[in-house]
Amino acid sequence: MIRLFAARPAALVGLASLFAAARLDAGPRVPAVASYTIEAHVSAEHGITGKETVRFTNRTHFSFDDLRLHLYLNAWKNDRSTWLTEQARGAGRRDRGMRAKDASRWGWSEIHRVSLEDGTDLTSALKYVSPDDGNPDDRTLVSVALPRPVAPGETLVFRVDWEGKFPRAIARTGWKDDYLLGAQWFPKLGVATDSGWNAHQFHAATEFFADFGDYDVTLTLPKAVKGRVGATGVLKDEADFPGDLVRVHFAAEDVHDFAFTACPRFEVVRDTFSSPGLPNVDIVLLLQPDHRPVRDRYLKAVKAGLADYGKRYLPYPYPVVTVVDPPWGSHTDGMEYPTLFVGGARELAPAAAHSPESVTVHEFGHQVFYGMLASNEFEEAHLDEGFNTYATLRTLKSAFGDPSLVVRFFGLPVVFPSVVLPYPEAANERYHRWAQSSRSDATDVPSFRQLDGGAVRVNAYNRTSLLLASAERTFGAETWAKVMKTYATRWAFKHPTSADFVAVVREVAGDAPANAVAGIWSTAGPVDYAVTSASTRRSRGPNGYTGEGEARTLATPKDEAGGWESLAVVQRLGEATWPVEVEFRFEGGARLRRPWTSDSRWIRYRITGPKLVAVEIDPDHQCLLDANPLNNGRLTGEAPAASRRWEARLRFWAQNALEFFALLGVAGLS
Amino acid sequence: MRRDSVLVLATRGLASALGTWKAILLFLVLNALLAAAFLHPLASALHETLDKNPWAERLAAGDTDLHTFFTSFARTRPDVLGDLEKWDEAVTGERGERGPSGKATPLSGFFGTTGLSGSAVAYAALAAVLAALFSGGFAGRFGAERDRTSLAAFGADAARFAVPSLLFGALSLAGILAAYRWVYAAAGTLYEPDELRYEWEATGLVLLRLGAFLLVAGILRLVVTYARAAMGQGATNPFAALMSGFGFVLARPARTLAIEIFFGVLGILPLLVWAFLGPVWNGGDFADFALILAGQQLVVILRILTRAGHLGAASAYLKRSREPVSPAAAPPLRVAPEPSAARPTETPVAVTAP
Repeated sequence: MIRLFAARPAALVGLASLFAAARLDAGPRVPAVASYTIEAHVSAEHGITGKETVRFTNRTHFSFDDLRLHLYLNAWKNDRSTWLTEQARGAGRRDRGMRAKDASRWGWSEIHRVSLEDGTDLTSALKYVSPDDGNPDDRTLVSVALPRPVAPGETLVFRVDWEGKFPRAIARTGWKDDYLLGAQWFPKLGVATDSGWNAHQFHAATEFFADFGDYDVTLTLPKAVKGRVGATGVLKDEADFPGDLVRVHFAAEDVHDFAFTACPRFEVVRDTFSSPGLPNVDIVLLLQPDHRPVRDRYLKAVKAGLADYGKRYLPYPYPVVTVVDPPWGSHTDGMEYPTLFVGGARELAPAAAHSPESVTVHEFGHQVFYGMLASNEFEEAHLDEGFNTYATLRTLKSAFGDPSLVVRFFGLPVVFPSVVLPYPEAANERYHRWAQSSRSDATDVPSFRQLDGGAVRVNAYNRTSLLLASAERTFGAETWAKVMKTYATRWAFKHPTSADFVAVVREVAGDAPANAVAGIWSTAGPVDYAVTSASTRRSRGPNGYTGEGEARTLATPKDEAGGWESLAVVQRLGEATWPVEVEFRFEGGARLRRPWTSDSRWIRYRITGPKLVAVEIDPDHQCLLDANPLNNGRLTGEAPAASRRWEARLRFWAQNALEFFALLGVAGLS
Repeated sequence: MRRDSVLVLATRGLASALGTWKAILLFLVLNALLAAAFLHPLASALHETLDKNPWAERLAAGDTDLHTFFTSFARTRPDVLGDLEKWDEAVTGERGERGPSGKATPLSGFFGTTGLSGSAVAYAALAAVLAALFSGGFAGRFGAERDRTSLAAFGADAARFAVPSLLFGALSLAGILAAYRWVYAAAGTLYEPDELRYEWEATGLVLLRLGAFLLVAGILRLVVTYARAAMGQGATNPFAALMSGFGFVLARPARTLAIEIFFGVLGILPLLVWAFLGPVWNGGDFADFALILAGQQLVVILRILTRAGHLGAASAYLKRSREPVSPAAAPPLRVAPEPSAARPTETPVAVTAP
């Protein structure tokens, strides 16, 4: 249920969100495509047995003659799965290796029966499909042939009985000790489009894509977690259940996934966000007891996200947001699901490190780009991760400033307050390393088809984040804020694509910004502008003969008083282009700027006038995509102070480093 | 106060080290030269990158843009710094990314890399050889208790004890590397930090492994230190000196360790003071530079002094303990007749011609 700008008294919010038997607040409904009613039992051994009724409404122009269901837990059924094969090749997160003899490491999901509302059994029509890589051993996607196609506008109700097992947590799904994060745990429909199903196998480096709908989920779990279960949506009911179990009932409307978590150690912290012009939101923080010191920092970060994202992009329309603080070593930190996200904290967490603030704001931010805009993360991961990284760093900078360098020495954090890690550059350093060495794929290559995890991460997170930050600096903060706001409000709940965003840029900011954005996404090459030479000398008269006839005289060159001649060459060393300015700085402080918006490879400037002191491309540091900012400028003279300063500092530390070996006894002086 | 208390021995050690001030100055000069050579490629690259670059103006003004500059520099000049990941891992104790097996050889990655990170191993080894040779000189002078300022005598001792000194240095190096490999790193493969329930358990285990490694390394250093001291006091057989040092430390573990910790803390103090309070040269004013350079060298010399002082204290401790530093030998065979009286007398012999 979307509740736009519907402020409510804070005290009522708590009651409503905890036991919200009543209808959620008013607002425009998103037409449901795939709605689920699920009843499932989660055993103490992390097994899951469930029945789901799925109501699929075909809102496309395509007739579907089969169903496509994701069985994501089969990514960890065995090492032949596409997910684990890709991870072994370096895609995705580096989680622990799967130990062959340790059954707890593996997970699986199996459909026992599929039937239509009238009881027609479709189980025999079920077959595993691998449209992305043809892997016959992958079991993460099934097709169920239908007796007759689902025509446009038609609704099909079907039922699935299934069983599964959660693995020891991997890739933000599963359990550790007494903690469980139930994600991607039920058979889930692909996305219905005008060209058929958009349903991919589970890939190691990419995430998910689903249609919106309503979820009504009832779970029975071991009683030990009573009062400590969090999930997508609102808790409608919680009660004891025979067999030493607890039964919880959650409902969520206008979402595209459902996740839950349970841990007897959770400390439940409740708070309410309220801000003028934005709807009130209940915050439920499920905190690990050893992370109590960061409780308020979690809450402050969620509120910063709710306020900033609400004003800049979209107000958070759901009545509650649940923040999960995962335990140490769970491998579930930093993940988003509708109305619920997983943060991550360390026991010793200096404020200067901005952790858990950064992960909290980021994962909350997904509620906008993943939760409400809901782009296809299999194919265009940058529309969620990149946009959200840009937005996260912006929010963090305005709410908390820049972080400082924090290095952990044997688990103990040491803060270096003078070494500032500026947002957004420092957080996106990975892009520059990639631009220096790999450049394997353009951003518009479907994410799951890119070379490796590095390419996906850089394109999805860093490149797009820096692209948007560069656009904001280059085309103006106000214009860019309008672009982002227009995009978010226009495309909320509509699964936008990159082309949709570029169209918004073109409409709001003009052709040049739209072409710049599209240009960066369409090439793997870096942006790299360089000043390759800069020189200046006094203007001189001609050398040789001047004049004609009797007036011809042999002139010897003489310096002309007051005048200087300068030459500068700027080059575009990278394949990509970005509109930049070239600044010429002269003795006495005069400055001159010239735009460089063409795609020419180089420009030679010849300047007469005052003495040229420096030439610098992008002097305001607007283009954060430049792969090598160190070649962006050149002085006509020498300024060795900085290198001398650092040489002296480093030499002293080198002396001590060499001496340190003796201190350890390696050198053997003592 | 007892004559063999930690403070008395430390004071005597430092006094002995001060007596060898010429050798300490020489060591400082060599250390500075080695550091300059080690850093030369980086310094050249910095000049090459910065001297005609507007970045120089920003960096001279302060540290605001430091992170951006150094990450860009490391990225665009990988030939200069090389791969620092393994060093970073060793210094911070944080494990880097692992392959699917989750394991990597603890000492792999230090050798064979290019740039500063690669040459660091070679320079560390060179510093070790230099320090080992100097330690022979220090041990000899502390043992002799005379001519401590004499560089000639110091040099003679350094040469005389060169082979055992290098042997001790090699043993120390091998022992500490083995301790790192088997005590710290191998212990880390016995458990998976993520499998522990709380982070403090993981941190505690890392610190425990580190503590165990430092203890073993400290004991190794102690044995070598007292072996050197024994060598300086006349134990000509290096193996005998080593066993003598081993026995001495084994008999007095608490006090010898206390002395080591005392000098360890004393050695790190000047560095900490400089790190937090030391001025930074602006790169322009050479009068300031002279003062700051002098301050920096004072820090390094104090650190060298404390380590030489530790050897001096060990030497003093050995002497005070009145333990033989070499195996007992059989009494010498006397071949000269002892005089029959307190004062030898002359006996006139009359020689007559046949």
